[in-house]
Amino acid sequence: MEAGDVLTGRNEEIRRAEAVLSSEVKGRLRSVALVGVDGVGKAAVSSAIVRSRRWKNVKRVVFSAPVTVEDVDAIFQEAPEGQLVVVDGLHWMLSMAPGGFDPLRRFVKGIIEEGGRRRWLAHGAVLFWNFASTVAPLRDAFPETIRLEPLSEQELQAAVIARHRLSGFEHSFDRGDGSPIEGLFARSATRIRRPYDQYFHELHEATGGLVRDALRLWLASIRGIQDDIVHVGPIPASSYARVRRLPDDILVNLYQIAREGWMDAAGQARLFRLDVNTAQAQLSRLAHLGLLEEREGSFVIAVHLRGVLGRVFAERGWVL
Amino acid sequence: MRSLRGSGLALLLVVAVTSPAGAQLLDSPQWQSDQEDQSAESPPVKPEPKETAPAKPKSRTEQRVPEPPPWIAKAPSPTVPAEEPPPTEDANTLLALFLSLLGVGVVLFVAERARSWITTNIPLRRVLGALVFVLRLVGLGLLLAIVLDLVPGGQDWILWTLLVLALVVGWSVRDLFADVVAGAVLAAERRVKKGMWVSGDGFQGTVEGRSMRATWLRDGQGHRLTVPNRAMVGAPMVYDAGSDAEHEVVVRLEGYDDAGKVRMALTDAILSSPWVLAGATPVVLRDPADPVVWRVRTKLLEPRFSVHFEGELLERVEDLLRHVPEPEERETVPSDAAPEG
Repeated sequence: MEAGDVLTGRNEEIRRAEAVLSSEVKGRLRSVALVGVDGVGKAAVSSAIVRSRRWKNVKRVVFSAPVTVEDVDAIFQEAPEGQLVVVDGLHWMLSMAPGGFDPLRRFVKGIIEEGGRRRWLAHGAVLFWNFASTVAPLRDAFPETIRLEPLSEQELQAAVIARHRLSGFEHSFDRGDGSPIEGLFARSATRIRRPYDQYFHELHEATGGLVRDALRLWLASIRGIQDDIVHVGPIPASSYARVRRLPDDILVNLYQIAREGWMDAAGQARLFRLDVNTAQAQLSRLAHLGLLEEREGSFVIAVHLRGVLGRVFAERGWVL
Repeated sequence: MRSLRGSGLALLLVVAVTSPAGAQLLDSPQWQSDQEDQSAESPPVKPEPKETAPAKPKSRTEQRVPEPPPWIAKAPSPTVPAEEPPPTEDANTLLALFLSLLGVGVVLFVAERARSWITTNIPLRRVLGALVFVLRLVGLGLLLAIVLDLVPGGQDWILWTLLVLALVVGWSVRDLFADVVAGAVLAAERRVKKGMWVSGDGFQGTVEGRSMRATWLRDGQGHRLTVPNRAMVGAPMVYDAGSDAEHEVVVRLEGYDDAGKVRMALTDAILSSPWVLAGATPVVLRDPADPVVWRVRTKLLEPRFSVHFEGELLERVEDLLRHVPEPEERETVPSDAAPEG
């Protein structure tokens, strides 16, 4: 199942982005940034924008490791007129080392200097985008910033069902875990609210309207498949309640990783004024707890926790 | 509104229950005073039964008893001595007081529970809060009345003892009254709210709660402070409305001539601090009177992180000022040094 294949409730955002990118006014910047909570569907919208019309020339730049100024320079080496450049992994342009802001500043400078010769499409998590905008004039380089809000209950329902239909299976909602008491409660609840509506109500509550988390919980709640019918059970417990109860020091640490997008031992040491060994131990412990994932020495927040953490940070007032 | 109506009905019920007892209270002293008057001024002459008693009727149909004189109804029974008061008098008073106290207690309990349940209707919560306060005062008054009622007549020394005790206690807790008055002032002004950062004479921290006596703060080190309310109103205090408030730090940087480089280092040091709110734009200002003094201002994640932010800022700036940029980057910076040769 590819999230980018099916999109629900984002038509207005796609139309706006397409209008800016396809503008032919001389000297005007043609750059669009998609900003939203992690898991809201930025990559899917980005793919939909690329597919929305037949662009003359599309170049996809994907960063998956820390970036240097030279790497950024390479993006601007060949710049054919009218090319659509889709940038993925913008956060790798930032680090907390001295001079760690330079790649991003070079990137922004390059876009502004181009003066709209090429079209730019980038996306980033809201926390990273806020932070990066204070490090470099990102908002000037991307005058059209499209905020992607979490989906409503109906939109989330439509998004999940649309993706499920791709499988070709029917679906059936079973309440309860099979025990007589649970069955009794489920039957009582059925009289008040249909199982279908009840399921998506609970799914929306658990995910806060984030498509990625909703799809994950949808798959986790499938009990089995019989006669081409997918039997969907109750939604498993979300990690939201447990993440909310994390100690303050861990939450602050995760906040730093979320705003930068990634972290290594050197960065952690510099941020919290530690020695590198202690910093490495701290990050390894967070990875051991399942909060972080390690990729070649760099740590990123576990994908299934990004949406939940975004909600927790917003509740704490840590997101502007 | 439903809770308020319920509380009103409960109050009416208690009043209805306690009002008959009140009526008895009012009647009893009158009865007693009449009796005392009659016994003191004109003691009833005990009539001789043989002379005054009417003739015994011969049949029930002839039971036409003439209206008895008024003293008969109140005359003491021949078996009861005239000096003994009616046994139910004191008991009625005490019972009425206890019942009233019980009623007040029940209403107080209901009002407090209702107040804890109501979270959205703020005006109703305030009304219930006021009701709870009034009921507590009424309860205290009833308790005092019960104590006074239990004191036997003629034992004035007990009342004097209580009075002296009250004076001693009052003198001992005179500071408490100042705190309570200050608490009332703070409540009326509505300046100090939960989540605010306050800083005053000898204290600073985030407000976690407030009572009539004291305000609880959480300082930068995470310690919990209890500040008497009179300290909050008795001296100038700085208020910041939560994390949105900007935090200012003064930094002294000597030995650096390039103001632009220092400014950039200060900006990057603030941005790379983990205690700063992501997206908050830092403000860096140089003191015109003293060029080595810089004022920086930004928003923190939470005011309690100010200690960490301040303590690490200079270190971060020095790290950045020590950093030598890559040669490619230096090409764009004009050099003051004269070319060799």
